[in-house]
Amino acid sequence: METKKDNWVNATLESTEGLRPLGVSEQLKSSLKSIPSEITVFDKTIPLSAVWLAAASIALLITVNVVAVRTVKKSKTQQETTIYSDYFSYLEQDL
Amino acid sequence: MESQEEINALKQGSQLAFNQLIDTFSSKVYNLSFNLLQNQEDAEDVTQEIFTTVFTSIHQFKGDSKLSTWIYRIAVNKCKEHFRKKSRKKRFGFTISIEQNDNAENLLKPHFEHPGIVLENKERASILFAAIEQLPENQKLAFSMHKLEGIPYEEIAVILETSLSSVESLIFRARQNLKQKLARYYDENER
Repeated sequence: METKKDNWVNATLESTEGLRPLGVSEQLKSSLKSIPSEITVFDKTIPLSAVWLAAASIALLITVNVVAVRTVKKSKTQQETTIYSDYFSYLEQDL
Repeated sequence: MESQEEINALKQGSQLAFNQLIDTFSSKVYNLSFNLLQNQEDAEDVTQEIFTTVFTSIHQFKGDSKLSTWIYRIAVNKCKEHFRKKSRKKRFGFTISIEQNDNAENLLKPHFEHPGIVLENKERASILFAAIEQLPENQKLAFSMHKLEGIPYEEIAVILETSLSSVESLIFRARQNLKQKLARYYDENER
């Protein structure tokens, strides 16, 4: 009984022996051959001028930010000095 | 189609070289896709995708392997993508109970008849294809490439980017799994 089952399993496992490869239809072949004409291949190289432009923009952005931060810091320090001098000014009047 | 001249012509976008590539490889690629996907329309769509990728990525081919191996690798990756799309659709497409799902997953439902199978083996091959479909992905790929396409173990290892011993183990486990599935099918249907 087991032998019958084993034979069936082995025969099924070998059932693809002599498998005939399928031919590709002419329609598929011609649509495959038309792939190059249907695809536009974009030039993937970036022009040097664009690279320089991007680098200059980044440098400008960084400079503007550094200047802005420095200006804000400076004005903050000046404001604090004014507040301190205003606060202690009454002492100077009394003296 | 493996010579450096032909590959260079392909890289330069030559239509003539591409036509030659199609004549040489379309049948192999289509048969591999057909055997893996078990559906004519899907195989045709995936074959289109494969050759589109070959055309757009040929500049990346460095000649480390044979051109045919490189194309097979693209084919296998496209088929993997297709399996995943299909399984995602299945997961979201149906709402069935866990109990039903467990039973359904174990059952072999022969549905695919390969036109290239000799007549007396048609029924059995259909059962085998249903069992192959249920194998884990890498076992399915390795087994199908070797058994149905006759690709040697060494080339399968390069295509799947794994070692030779892993391929041997994948195919051994695939055979064991198939034997179990077929034995279960025999108990339920043939006895």
